[in-house]
Amino acid sequence: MSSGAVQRYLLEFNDALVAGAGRRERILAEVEEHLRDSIAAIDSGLAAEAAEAEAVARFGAPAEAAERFGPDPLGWAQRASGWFDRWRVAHPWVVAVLTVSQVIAFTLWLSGLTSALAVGLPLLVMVTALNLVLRRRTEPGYRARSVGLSRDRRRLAVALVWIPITAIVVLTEIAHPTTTWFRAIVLYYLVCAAAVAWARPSCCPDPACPGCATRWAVRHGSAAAGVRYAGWVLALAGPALAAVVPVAAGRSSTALFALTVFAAVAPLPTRRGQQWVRRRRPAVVVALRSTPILALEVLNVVRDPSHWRMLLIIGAFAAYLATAREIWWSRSRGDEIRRRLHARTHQAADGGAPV
Amino acid sequence: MARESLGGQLDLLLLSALRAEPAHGYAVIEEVRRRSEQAFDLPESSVYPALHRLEQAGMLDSEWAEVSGRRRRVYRLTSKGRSALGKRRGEWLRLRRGIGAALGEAN
Repeated sequence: MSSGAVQRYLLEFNDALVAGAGRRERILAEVEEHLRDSIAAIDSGLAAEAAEAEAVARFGAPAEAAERFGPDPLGWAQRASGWFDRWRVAHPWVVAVLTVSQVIAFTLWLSGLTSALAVGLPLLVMVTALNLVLRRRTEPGYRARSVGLSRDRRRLAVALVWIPITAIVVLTEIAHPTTTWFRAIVLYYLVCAAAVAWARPSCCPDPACPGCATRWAVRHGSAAAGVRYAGWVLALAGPALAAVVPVAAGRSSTALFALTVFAAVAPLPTRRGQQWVRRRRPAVVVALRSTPILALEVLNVVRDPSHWRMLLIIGAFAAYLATAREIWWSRSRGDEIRRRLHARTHQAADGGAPV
Repeated sequence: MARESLGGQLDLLLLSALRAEPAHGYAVIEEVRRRSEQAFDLPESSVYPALHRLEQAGMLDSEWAEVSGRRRRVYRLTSKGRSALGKRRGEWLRLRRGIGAALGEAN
């Protein structure tokens, strides 16, 4: 029988450890194996509880032992994002203003006050709404509802996301009217991306998710695969079509740029491709998917150095996305590790699970 | 013997314990204990960070392996680790001779 001393120790050790998810899992596994060896080696005359207590004591205080492993950058970033979330919950408006003001300042530098306001104001509404949702989720008694949202609430959630995005597009268009060929190319690729996204086989990594099971793409797998392939084929054909279709006015280079954006964001057409993406670290996926667009921009800068601003924006955005997704991935895996340790601690306390 | 008394020779002890064959962390600690005739009771929680550090420095290599029916992280010495071990061992022997001479011990 186990007294749960090892599980309690691992829980405290995990809380004190400043490490990204991958390194954290490895350290916890090594420490646990060590403690198991240590218990087995301790005098068999001792009771199991006493052997566990002795093994844990030999390893040292959890906080001190965890500190010896030293922090890693991902661990610090993960911890910092946890602090940021607590701050977002405590002051949703202040954090929204501070976050969005950076985007406003950047857009102001790039293309003037009207664009800055057109982008900044809807974004402010969106970020504040997200912060308020986060605050709501931390309230006592809140129960997460991944499925089962009423149809009205689902519509409201979709509206909360799309209304500001539409407002940004419309206001930016008013501030800087674009030409017909540009609108045609953007619309063409938006339709391709929407079709591929709508026909993707699942909306989350959980294969048993009931929300995903009700989707059209899941119930009609072959038809959805056809839509995905058609979307990708049309997207790949975009630059060639732009050369011959009059409305695109021969703007193949713009279509090629749109294609690289599409390749960076659109879900892959094959199931195997999507599974491959899920198995890779987020930073690797972002790096691979942003390679075509970055390569194109580097070529543009070589041809005309005045394009450096666009290269800077895309490079900075890719770096931001890779970092943010890596932190998010590490945090969610870290939360999963903590939940697992909690469950095992309770199990050991209740029924004496094996160490 | 406490960690402070090891005088920064923990890396040398760990590399030396892995010279003969690959081993997991607990086996490394046991090997050091056995070789030192229980003189070095290594502080357990400081061994793993040291193994990780040596691995990051390229002196050790590690992988998950099944050992006695359990999944263990097994460490092995790399060629860089072997040459580092030879170098540190030489330094240690020189230091020991120097201290011995200073204390008036016969060689």
